[in-house]
Amino acid sequence: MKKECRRYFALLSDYIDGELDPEARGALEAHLENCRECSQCLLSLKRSIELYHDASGQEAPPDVVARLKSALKECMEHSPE
Amino acid sequence: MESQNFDLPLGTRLNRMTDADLIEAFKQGSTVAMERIVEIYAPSVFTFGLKMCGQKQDAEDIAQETFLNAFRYLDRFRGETKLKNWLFKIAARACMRKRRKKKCAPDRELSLESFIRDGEEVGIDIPDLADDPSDQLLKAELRGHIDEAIQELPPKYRIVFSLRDLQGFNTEETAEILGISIQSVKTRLHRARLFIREKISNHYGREGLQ
Repeated sequence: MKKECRRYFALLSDYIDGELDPEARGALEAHLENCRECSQCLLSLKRSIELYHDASGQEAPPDVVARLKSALKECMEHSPE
Repeated sequence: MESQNFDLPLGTRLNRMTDADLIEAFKQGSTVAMERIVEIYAPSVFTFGLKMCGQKQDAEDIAQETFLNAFRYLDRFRGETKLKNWLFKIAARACMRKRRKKKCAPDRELSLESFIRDGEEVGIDIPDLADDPSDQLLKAELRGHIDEAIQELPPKYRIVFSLRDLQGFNTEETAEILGISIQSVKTRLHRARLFIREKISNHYGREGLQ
């Protein structure tokens, strides 16, 4: 990877998250147009983020929530104010 | 806190109550409000604990400690931050305490250099499964591999990755929850993402699914 590419490599997540200032974003986009390696890196990073977003859920088994409620109720009822 | 045996009037629509309403009702002694707060936030706190510790029992302990501390000190909550963010601040501390108790291996650094593949970047190919319903089985299998990769992340990267990319907190919120700088959140998140990308790519390469 070229020296110039290494500098942009560090900025790819900020770019994906829309957290680069306009000047840095413009410079990165100009670089991406001419650099297949960095474009490929950006694409694979975006796709891997999409994959785990798609695969992740917010789940707690119902018995966990029930146990939690019951334990909390008991603690709150018996702990001193 | 002693129970006041106060509860919400009949006909109160719990699902229409805001966090502020629920907190106020809890302060008045409503156990129904307490249960509603648990129903809303326990799934995400449990999932966070699971990603951080990898064990269901540990995740349940973390959720219990989080809500117990939250309800104990909820009267001090002034609403400067969202209830969810406040709960995750408590949950993050609970995860760190759990880790100390278990005497886990020390944290390690991930250098940016270690993710640079000279001349090989073009070979890293992550398939696009986003719009292909026939790949549900593949996605389910992938979930297992991604979970394994998350567990392999050093904890200080894993906690940032979990909050930002799995729980959906923004950079500023993550920095506030963890008490670290915005730049540290960005740096750790980028390295964590590169780490996960590499693991996914290794998996696909090994399985010949490219």
